[in-house]
Amino acid sequence: MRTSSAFPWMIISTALMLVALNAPSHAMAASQDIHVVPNKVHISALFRKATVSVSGNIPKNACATVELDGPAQDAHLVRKGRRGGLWMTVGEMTVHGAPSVYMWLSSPNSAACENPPTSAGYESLKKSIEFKGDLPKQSVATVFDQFVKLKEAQGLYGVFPKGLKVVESGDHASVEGHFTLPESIVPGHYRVVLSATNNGKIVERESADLFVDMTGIPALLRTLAFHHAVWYGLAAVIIAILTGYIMGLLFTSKSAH
Amino acid sequence: MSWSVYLPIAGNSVNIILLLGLGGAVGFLSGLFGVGGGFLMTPLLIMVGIPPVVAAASDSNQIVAASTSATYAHYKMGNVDFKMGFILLIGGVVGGTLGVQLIKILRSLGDADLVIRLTYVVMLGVVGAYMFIESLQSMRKVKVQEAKTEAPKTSGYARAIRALPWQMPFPKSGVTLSPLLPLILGIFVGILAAIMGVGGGFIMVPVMVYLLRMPMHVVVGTSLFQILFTCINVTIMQSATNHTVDIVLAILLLLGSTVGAQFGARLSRVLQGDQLKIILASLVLLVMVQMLVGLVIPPHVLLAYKGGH
Repeated sequence: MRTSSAFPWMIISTALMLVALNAPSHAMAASQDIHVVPNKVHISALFRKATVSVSGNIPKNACATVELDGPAQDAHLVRKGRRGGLWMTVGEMTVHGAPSVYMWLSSPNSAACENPPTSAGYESLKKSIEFKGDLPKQSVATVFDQFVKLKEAQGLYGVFPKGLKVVESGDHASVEGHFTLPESIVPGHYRVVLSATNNGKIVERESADLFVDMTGIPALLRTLAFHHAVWYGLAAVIIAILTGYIMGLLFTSKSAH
Repeated sequence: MSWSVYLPIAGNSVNIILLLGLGGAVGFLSGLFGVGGGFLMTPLLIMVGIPPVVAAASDSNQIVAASTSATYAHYKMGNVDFKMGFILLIGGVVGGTLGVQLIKILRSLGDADLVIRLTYVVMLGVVGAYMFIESLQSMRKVKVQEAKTEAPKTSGYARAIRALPWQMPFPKSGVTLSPLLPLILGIFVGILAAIMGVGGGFIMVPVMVYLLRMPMHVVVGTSLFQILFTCINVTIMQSATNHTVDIVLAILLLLGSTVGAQFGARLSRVLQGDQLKIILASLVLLVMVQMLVGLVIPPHVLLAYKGGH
């Protein structure tokens, strides 16, 4: 009897233990010491750019860095090269594991910032990004540099040394900075990480989430385009024909008078 | 107010006035010369930040509107040869399919881009230069030659096309031809258009003028009629297979292009055939020079997103 009455409690306690084990670790989870404002960005019909402010606290005399990275996406690229004296596409490649957005800000130079961690800025990306396809004979590093250049031109990647403002007070320092999310940002779950380093060693790290979603008419049209593709195409053609015909009719009747 | 609108498929935000202006300018050229304008619009859209694949597909959608508007205007003026247009269209579809297969073979050999770019430059150069010189000579001759009543000599080409079977009249164009000729030429233009990734209007127009011997005003209307069907097909195919048609982008472009096309069609009525040809030839040569510069000057970034023209 006792065994059977204890059974539901065993299940419940085991379930609670599993939930606790699967809960995100607080060492890197959303923290009270980092604030991202706004933490939700909506892409609506009139969306242009969005500025996101990041603030937090770090120990006094530490070097601060803030990193924003977005969901990884595969990108299909073409490589330009010279053939017979003419510049043209000489190969195709796929980029795996590259974040859709990567931005990195750091505090103004101080003694603590002299030896930045090897995982800082674009150096950290080099390890996670993989290039496959027709790669040039020289080196992958050249391709990586060109890839960063391409992303920077779109406003999706950026490294901004001295991009953070640090104000010391008492035993800690407050850090403040901002990112500009470009028009071409894709919806998804982004992560903002504030790190405090001292001579290349991370002494504290806090993270917060940033959500970008599509709302209203853009969201509706995107759903139609991807889930009802043929009807979407037909609608696009019908709208075009009707607009063209109406314009033709309007102008013909105008010119007739 | 920012005057910007978010384009859900392109995933970018662009100024509304800029898109209306681009549409208007290219629509004007479309109505004036009977070209779709894809060879101008797609690079311009890429320049304002639209991904190449979305630029090419959405441009096809807006060409549907511009060519409907301009075809209607030309139809009202009696400038559309439907019989010739249908035969060229059939040839164009067959040629387009063959061209796509040819590109696949070239890509597997690794020479596709070289062939595409050289075809572009050579075609634009030859077509542009020939039209320019011929129109210039023709304009000069009109002034001098009106008094002369010399019987025209029959060229080898004229004798060859008369020797083809099933000769039939095309009353609207004022020519008698074998349907095989427009069919073969349609296939040829379709192959070139598929290789170059464009609608092919700027190749079709000179082909109709010089090889089918159609009057320039009928050429413009008939070319637009053919482009209309080609672009309907491309829009539906791109939507269904690649999801690259941005309807917001296309609507803004087509609002501009349908109005522009009407003004272009009106101006085409005022200008003489040779004047039209010489302006189109200058435009084609300008694009050729721009392409040539792109081939010679090193690009700023050596990587680009796949897709587009």
